[in-house]
Amino acid sequence: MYTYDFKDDKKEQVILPGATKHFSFDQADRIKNLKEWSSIELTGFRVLFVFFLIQIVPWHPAFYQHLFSINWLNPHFKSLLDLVTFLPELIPTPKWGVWSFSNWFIYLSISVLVATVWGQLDKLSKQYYFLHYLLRSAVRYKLAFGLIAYGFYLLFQQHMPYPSLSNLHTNYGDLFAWKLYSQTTAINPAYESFLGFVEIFAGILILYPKTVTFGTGLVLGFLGNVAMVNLFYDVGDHVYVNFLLLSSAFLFSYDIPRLYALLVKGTKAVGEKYYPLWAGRLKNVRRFVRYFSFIILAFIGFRAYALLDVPYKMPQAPGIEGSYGYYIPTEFKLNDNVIPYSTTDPNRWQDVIFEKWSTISIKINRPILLDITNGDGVEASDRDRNYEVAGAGGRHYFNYTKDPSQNIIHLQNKNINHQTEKWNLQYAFPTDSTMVLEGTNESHDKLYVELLRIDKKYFMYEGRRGRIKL
Amino acid sequence: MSRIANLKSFFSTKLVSPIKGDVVRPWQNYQKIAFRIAFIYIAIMCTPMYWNFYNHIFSLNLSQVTYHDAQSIVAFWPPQFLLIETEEGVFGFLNYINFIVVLIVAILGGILWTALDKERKSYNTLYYWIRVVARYRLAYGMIGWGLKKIFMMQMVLPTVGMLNTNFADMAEKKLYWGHVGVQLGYEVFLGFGEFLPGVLLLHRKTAALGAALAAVVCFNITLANHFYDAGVAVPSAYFTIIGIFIVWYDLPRIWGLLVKEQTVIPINHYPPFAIAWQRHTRTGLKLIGNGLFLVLATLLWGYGWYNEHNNYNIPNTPGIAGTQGYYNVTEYRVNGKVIPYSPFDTLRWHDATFERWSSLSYKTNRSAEVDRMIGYSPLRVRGNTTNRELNQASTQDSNLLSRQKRKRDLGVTRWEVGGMSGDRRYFYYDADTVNHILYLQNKNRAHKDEKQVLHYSRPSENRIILSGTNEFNDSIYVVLDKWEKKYPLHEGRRTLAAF
Repeated sequence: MYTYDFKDDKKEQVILPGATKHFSFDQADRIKNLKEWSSIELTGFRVLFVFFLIQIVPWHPAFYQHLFSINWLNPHFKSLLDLVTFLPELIPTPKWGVWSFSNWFIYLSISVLVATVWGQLDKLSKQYYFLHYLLRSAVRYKLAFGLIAYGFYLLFQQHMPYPSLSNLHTNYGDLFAWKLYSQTTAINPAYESFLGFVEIFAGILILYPKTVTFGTGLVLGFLGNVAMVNLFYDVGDHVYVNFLLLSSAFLFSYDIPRLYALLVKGTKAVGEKYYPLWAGRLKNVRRFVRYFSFIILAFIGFRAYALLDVPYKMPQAPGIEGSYGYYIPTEFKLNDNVIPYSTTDPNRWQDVIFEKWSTISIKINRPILLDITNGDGVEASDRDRNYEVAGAGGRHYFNYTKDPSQNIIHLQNKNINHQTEKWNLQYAFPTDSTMVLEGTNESHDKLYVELLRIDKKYFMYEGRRGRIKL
Repeated sequence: MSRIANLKSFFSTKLVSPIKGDVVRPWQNYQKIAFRIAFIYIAIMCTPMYWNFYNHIFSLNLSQVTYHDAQSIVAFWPPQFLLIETEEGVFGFLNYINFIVVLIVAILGGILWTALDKERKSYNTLYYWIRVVARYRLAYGMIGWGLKKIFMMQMVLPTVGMLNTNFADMAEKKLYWGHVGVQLGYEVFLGFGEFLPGVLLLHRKTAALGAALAAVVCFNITLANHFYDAGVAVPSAYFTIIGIFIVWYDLPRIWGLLVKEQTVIPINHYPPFAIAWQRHTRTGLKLIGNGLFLVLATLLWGYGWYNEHNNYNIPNTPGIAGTQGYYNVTEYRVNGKVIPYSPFDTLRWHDATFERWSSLSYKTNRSAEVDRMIGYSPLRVRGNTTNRELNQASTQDSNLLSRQKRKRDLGVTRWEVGGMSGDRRYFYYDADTVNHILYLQNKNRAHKDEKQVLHYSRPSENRIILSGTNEFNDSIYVVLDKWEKKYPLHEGRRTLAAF
C-alpha cells in the first residue's frame, strides 16, 4: 500500500521545508517532492491509523486502575508485564472462539466510521507521510515493549516454570493441551530462555527504525508459531498475540515493495525513506523517549530476574523437612476400616507426593472439576498460587500450613472448585523412608495412612543413550 | 560451434543489469579466496558422502517404492568422516567435528585453487551454479521433512497406553514429539513451515525468502534437537548452513537497501539459455527433479497416509472390534490362585489397554530394557556397526518386513514402545476370531521372545476375559472391565468439567 516512489531520484534525505525548529503539520502536508497517495492508500491509512491508535493510546480507565494499583516501590514483574501488554476492552468478550475478537470488530467499525468522516473533512491532504511516520513509531514501541517484556518472562523462566513433581507424575492424557505444551517446553529451561532471547533480540531491532524490518521479519515467523500454538492448544493469549502479529505485519509491509523490486523483479529498489526532521527541542524529546524506554525495559528485566530462583507461580513456603518425594500408602484406614490397594475405590489413596514446598498431591479415584485457568496470577498466599493445579487432572492438590510444635499440618484443597475440603493431619516419620499420617478429612472421617517412600527412576532423567531397565 | 563449446555455453552466465552498458566487474582478492573455500565447502556438503546412499538408489525396486525411499534420498545426512558416539548419540554435539573437517579440506583446497588460478577476475558463473546445487539440495530436503508432518506421520496421536503413562516416564524426545502429536493441526502447520520454504527455494526469484525462512526454521529445529535429544540436530544445523549460504548472496543488498537506506540496483549473472535445446534441457531437468521430489514424493506420502495403511508410526493390523480403551483388571489369577491388586506386584497386571490396532498393553511393577529409538531417525550412516543396541541404522523395519511379506507391524514399534518406560509392556497380537484366541508377542525388541497365547471372551460389551498361558508359561485368568475414561487432553479446557 505504501510505495514511496520519490518523484525525483536524489539520494539525499528528504528534508521538510520549514520544519527546522518546530514541526508544523500543515507544512508537512505540502511537501513538494513526495509522491501523492492514491485514494485507496489514503482511505486505508485512515482506517489503520484509527484502528491501531485506539488500541495503543491508553484511554481506557482499566489501564489507569492497573497503573495506580501497582506498588511502585516494589512492583511485581507480572504487573509490569500486564501494564505493557495492556489492550483496551470496550466490551467483555468470551475467552474462546471468534467472538473473543469482538473488540476488534468494534474497533474496526469505529475506524471505518472515523475514516469516512475524516475523508469528508480533509479533502486537501494528498498524503500522510508524517502521520504515517508517527503511527509506525507508536506501533513499533507498543510491539517492542510487548515483545521485550514477554521475552523477559521467558528468559527468566517465569512464563512456564519447571513442572512440579506432581505434574511430572500425571498421566499424559490427564493434562490439558496448554499444560502439556507449557510443561514440555519447561523441562528444558535453557530452551525456554532461548525463546525469550529471540523475542528480546527482535524487540530491540524493532526499536530502531532502520532494523525494524529484520526484527519484524523474525517476529512474523516466531509470533506466527505462537499464534498457532494459541489456536491449537487453547493457551488463551490469542487476542494479544494476534495484535502483535498484525502490528508486525503492518511494520513489515512498509519494506515489501522495496524487497519485491530488489529480489523478485530485479529492478532498481529505492532505499530512501521519509523521516520528519527532528530539530531543536524535538530532537531531545525523541532522544529522551528512546533512552527512557531502555531504562524502563531494563527495569522490567530486573524485576523478572529477581524472580528467577523464586518462580512466582509456584508456592514458596518450604514443605515438611525431609518429606519431598513420591510415596505409596501401604496401609490405609478410613474410620478404622482397612481399605486394601485399589485403583477404583473413591477413598483409597493410591500414591502421595510431597513437594519441596508446602503442597501435597494425592491420587484418588474421585472426580475432579479441573481448574481451567492458566494459574498465572500474582498471588501473595501459597494456597492461591495455582499453577501446579491449573490444567492438571488425576491428582488432588492440597496446600498445608504447619504447626511444628505438634507435628500437625492443616490442609486445604488448592483446586478452586474443591476448596471446601479441609483436613487436619498429624505426621510422624517412624523410619527414614516411611511416614504416618493420622487425622480427619473434610467430613470428619478418621484417616490413618502409612506411607512408604519410593525411589522411583524417571525415564526423563535417565540420560540419553545408555542401556537401561525401567 | 563445436560440441564442447556448445555444452559449455549451457553453463555460462551473462550479466543481467538494469544499467545500460554495464560491464562485469572484477572481484576483490579476498572475495575470490572466500568464494573458493565456500564453493568447495558447499560442494562437499551437498554431495552424499556415504556408500549406503548409492547402494540404496541402485537397489531400488521400482514396483515397491514407498515414501521411505523418497525420504532417504532427499534427507541424506551431511558428510560423516569421523563417527564419535557420545551420550547424545551419533548426531551429538561432537559430530560437528565433521563440519570442521570439511572446512579444513575446503580451506586447503581453496589455497591450492588460489595458487593455480591466479588470472581469474571473477567467479560469477560458478557462484551461480553452486547456488543452484545448494538451492535444490535444501529445497527437496525441506519438502521431504515438511511432507512427513503435513501427512501427520512424524508425530502421531498419543496411544491409549501413552495417555495412561506418567509424563516423566517418557524420554525427552518422546515428550517433544508427543506434544506436537497431540494437535495434528499444529503438526500440519509446522509441516508447511518446512514445505513452503522448500517450494520457494525452487524458484530463483523467491529463493532468498525461502532460504532465509529455511535457515530460521532449521536453526530452531537444531536447538530443539539438542535440548530434547531428538537425534537430528547436526543434520538440521547442516540445512541451516546451506540456507545461510544461499541468502548470503542477497544479504549485502538487503542490508544496503533497508539499513543504509541506499537505492540498490541489483546486478545478477544468469545463464541466458539462448539456444532452444538448452532451454528444453533446463525445463526437462526441472520437470524431472520437481516431478520426483515434489509431486511424486507428495503422492507417495499421501498414499502412505491414506487409510493409515502404511503410517510408519502406527500399526495397521486392526484390533478386535470395539475393544479400544483403558481397562481395569477386576480379577487376576495365576495357576488358579487369585492375586489381589498391589502396586508392588511384579506379575499381576495393574491395568490394561487395547488400541484400535492389534495391541495389548499392561502395567506391572516389573522393569524392562527400554527401547530408546523413537519414530524414524536413522542415526547411523556408515553401514553396519557392532553397537546395534544404542543406535541402529535401519529403524524402519516395517518397510523391510512388508517387502518381505512378513508382519509389518512387528517393525512398527518406535512410537508405541520407543521412549516409553518399560513397566508397561506392549504386545502385538494375531487374533484368531473363530476360536477366539490371541497369539501375543512382546513388541519391545529386547524382549521379543516373550510370547503368550490367550483365549478371549466378551461376556458383555465392556468386559473381556482372557485365559491361557503367559510369557512365563503360567496359566493366567484375567477379567478386564473397560473404564469409561474421558481425558482432559481430548476434552479441552473451554468448559468446566469433572474428570
